[in-house]
Amino acid sequence: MSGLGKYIITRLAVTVPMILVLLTFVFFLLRIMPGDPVLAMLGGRNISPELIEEYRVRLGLNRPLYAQYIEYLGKIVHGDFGESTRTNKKVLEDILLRFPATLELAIFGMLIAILIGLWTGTYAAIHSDRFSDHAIRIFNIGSFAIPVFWIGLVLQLVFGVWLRWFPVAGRLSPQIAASFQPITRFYILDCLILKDLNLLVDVLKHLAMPAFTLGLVLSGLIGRISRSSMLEVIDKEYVTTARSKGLTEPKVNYKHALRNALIPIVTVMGLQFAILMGGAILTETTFSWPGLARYLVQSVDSRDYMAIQGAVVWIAILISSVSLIVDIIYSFLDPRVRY
Amino acid sequence: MSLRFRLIGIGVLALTLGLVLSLGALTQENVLTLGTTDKITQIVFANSYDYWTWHTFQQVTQTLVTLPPGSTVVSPQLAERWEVSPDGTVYTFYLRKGVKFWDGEPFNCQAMAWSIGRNIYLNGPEGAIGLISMIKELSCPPAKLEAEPGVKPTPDELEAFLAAKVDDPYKLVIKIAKPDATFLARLADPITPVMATSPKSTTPKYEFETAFAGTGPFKFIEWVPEERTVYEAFPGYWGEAPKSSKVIEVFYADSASLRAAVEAGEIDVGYRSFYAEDILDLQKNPNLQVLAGPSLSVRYIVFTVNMPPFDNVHVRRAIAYAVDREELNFKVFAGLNAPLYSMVPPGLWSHIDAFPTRDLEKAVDELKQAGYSPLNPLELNLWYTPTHYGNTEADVAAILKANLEATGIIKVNVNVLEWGTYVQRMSEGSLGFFLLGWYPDFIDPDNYLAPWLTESPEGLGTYLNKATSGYDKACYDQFVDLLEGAKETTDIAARTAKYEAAQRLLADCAVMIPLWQNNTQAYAVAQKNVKGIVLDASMNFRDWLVYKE
Amino acid sequence: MVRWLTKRIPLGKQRLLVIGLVVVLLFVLVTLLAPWLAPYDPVNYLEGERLASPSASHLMGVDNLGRDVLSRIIYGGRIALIVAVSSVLISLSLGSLIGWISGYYGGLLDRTLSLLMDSLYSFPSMILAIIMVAMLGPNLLNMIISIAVVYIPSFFRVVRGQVLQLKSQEFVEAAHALGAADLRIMLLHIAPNTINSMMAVSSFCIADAILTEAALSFLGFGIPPPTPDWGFDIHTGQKFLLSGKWWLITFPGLMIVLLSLGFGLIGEGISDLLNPKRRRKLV
Repeated sequence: MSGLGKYIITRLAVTVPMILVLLTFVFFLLRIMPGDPVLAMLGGRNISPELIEEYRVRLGLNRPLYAQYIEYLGKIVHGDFGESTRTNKKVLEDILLRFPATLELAIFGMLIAILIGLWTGTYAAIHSDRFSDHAIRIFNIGSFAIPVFWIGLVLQLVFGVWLRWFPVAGRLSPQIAASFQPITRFYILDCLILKDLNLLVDVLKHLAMPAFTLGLVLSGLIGRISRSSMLEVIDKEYVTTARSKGLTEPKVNYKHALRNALIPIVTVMGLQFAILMGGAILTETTFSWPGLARYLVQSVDSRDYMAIQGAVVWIAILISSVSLIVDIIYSFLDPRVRY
Repeated sequence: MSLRFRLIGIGVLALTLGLVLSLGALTQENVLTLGTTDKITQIVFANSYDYWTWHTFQQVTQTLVTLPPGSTVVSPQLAERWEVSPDGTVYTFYLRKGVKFWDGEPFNCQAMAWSIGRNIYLNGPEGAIGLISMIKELSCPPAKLEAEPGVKPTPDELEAFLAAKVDDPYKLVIKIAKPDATFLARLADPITPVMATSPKSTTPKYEFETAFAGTGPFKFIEWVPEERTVYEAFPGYWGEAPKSSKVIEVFYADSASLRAAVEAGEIDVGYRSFYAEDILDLQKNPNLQVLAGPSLSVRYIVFTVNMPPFDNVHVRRAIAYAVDREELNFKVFAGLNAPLYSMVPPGLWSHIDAFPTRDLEKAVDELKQAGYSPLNPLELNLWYTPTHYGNTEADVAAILKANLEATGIIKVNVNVLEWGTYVQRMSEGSLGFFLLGWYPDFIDPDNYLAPWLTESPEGLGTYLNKATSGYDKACYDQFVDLLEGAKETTDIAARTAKYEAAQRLLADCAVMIPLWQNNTQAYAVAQKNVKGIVLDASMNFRDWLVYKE
Repeated sequence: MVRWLTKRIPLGKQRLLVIGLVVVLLFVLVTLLAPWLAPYDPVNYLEGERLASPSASHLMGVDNLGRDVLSRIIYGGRIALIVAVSSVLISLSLGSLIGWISGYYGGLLDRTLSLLMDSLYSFPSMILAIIMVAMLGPNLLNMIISIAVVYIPSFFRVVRGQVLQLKSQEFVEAAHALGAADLRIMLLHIAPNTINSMMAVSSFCIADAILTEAALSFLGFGIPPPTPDWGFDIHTGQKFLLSGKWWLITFPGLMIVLLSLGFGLIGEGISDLLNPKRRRKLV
């Protein structure tokens, strides 16, 4: 474990500069480009130049760039993400309010992607070079070419508008939402804590289409990886041994090969998570999902500097932690890895 | 095993019983659910300046005067009656007795004057205080408060005022700088800086509040941004009790979600804003009622008159002749909005159809007078902002482009800017030719003309006060005469004549081109069992009148 | 030319590459010949029956402004191709250059550049592109710049890796010993060795850039209307989704899938060529 602890520390030493780079990039990008948060905030009313100046001073925008930057860094270190000019609340509060929605969507999207990917990949490997293998290959390649927002709209059209199976927007039905006091803001978890079946059904109905949209787009990559690693494993000796012991074929494939196939899937999950967040921004927009990604788009629209910076830093931290966790899991899955 | 089954059985029974009971309680409670795509910016009386935030305040507290359902005549609310001094600068209000805030505090002169005074001192950045900037002094004789936005009255003066002895707690005197025929309209709800809040429960007292108590039919229970607001009936309300004991207002991200929710029966009422196509579909739905209200919200083109080529009145007139409001309305809004031929919309007194209907020949004539021809075409940049006015702006720009290019002499480049930059460029006077929208602050023709032409021509991008051509300078002087003159009298006939003249002058100068009246915004879609919805020219949606049968 | 190609590349076995090339060439042809192929003016023709469903006169239906959807789709390929190809060309040149410099000179410079590029690479490219294009302002050039920036790290990583690998090989060291100038070494020995993998990476990046462009337009950060653009047309069509006007979103979406798939298949094909074992291993 001490080796692992050391490894975590080294990883953190790499992670911090990476977050700093992203933060710096976004910080200066926002301030060099045209657009003004004060005017976005004050709107098109009868506003005087004095008032605009007053708000510049209040937001610290009148000071030199480097001074603003140093001040912001100092605040971030203390966990202070500043205040949003759009919602007039602490950015961190805003983020914490919306982040569970995004994470819930991402986790279920990932789960669906793994389910589809693992199943198709394994199936293709077992039926290697047969028709089903080729069909799955084409699906896998094609899944990279599908725009997330578009498949979301198509699902809405078919299952929301034509068949009316699922609601097209939001996380909860309004009546249920009004009487429901979230505990963790991860609604599935809340349902389990509250042991409320009605609530759970409503939550799942709302989650189904967005999660499937996100999952479908990611399933291709997982499908490919699981196929190739399954193929590799199937050829390996110990499977052959197992087979010679008289085990029936499906049992062989799944029991022995699956565990080894999981390793490369876990490895790519860290990187996948970044793609997942990119996909989430579009899924949330399409399904009016009240998450972090939608918050970011709205903040961009209103030139809400602190909110944009805060969201970027938060996502960067999130991605780094996920990849760290993935590495740790990896070390348990694959006994050969030692830090 | 059997014990476990029995336990499960009991559990199920209890659960159903609980469900039935809670359902029963729910129906007794008479909860109304209303959905909207609009949003609340900030629950701060001294700052908020947008439709839905004002709507929210209007459910929970009140002002001195109001526009009753279906009327545009200023009528008593927290004031029972009032007197105006002969010179038109001193208003004396006699307040209603027995009114209470939700916190149990009595409503009186000091509370009312304190609320307004506090907002004037706080003077929020969104600028709503500008609407009552003519107020110079508030008093409950002999106690007085001098008013100057952002400076006076100070917190100390306000505290002293609250502690002062007054002769009559139900007599409020307001002095204004000069006679203003629009003043009473500016005191009517839902203009938030003049709303009553309890001095005891408003916290923090002299900063933007986080909590307050009002006098309205509902108590403000909770606001979850981007999700919902909840109101509950205030048992001590002085007027008729609200028809629903609880109202939940749900915020939807877009009109598609709003439509889906009302169709699925998830909400009782949907209001502001449905997309035109969805309204047409919903009208065919036998389970729903679709109600259309009058709308005094307008959309229009603005020119920056000191920026070439828009400093040439012929160019502006050519565009005014070339736009096809009928096609615009039909293609973009499925015919549900109304083509608009004056900035003062139909439904408001003094309206006349001042602008000409489409005439391509005259448009070409005007362009030739300005020196343009097919061989020497006019190239223009048209600007719009993509989200601030809903999702139809791109379509509007596309139609306008096609309209103008039909002259064969104009070429239009469409440009997009997000709202913040749009406002910045507009007030710098560098957009030239762009789309804006207007929702009235108070119901008076003045509010449809003065802001761009005389009050704030730079902030709203016309720059008419900085006109470069002699013709435009003359226009500006005439507008100042007409619009200032119209406020100095309260005689409706005399005012009407001046506003009609101003509308005709505007059609000549073509500083702005009215395009359509925003009727789609005034639609409410409700379940069949919902009663009591009043949609009138004030565009105030009164939750307290609405109930389910 | 064709003979030369068929000799060099066993196209018969490269079905993916062939299909991909055919799809992409078809799209390029259609966009080039748009003025002759499109039945109506995509912008100023407003005479179609509002929201008419697909019919003989309007094969893909009519939008709410009376415009022919097919004509807009034919023209819409222009923006997608221009933006995707030119932004990837920019990131290819910049990414390769920085990658070469970084890998060749090594040291502190390499570490700094790598950190910079890794940071960009680890962050969701979609989010970065949105922030950039929203701040720059929505137009063609800004969209190209924003998309180009997010793909620079992909090329940087490939080139730097190749350079590091080749640098250790003998012939480069030998050239060094003979005193050849740095730039010449790079161009003579390293460039030809990286070009194949660069082609594969470029194809994948273009495939992805097409999706990014569509997404930016869909979110309203794209080319100002009424210029035909698939992503923006889906955004417009979304308003009519609940009214069941399926043709407004279906056709532009299918085009995005097909074009992106075309480039994806080319990438696959080239990768298969470079590494024949890969086909079995990494379908």
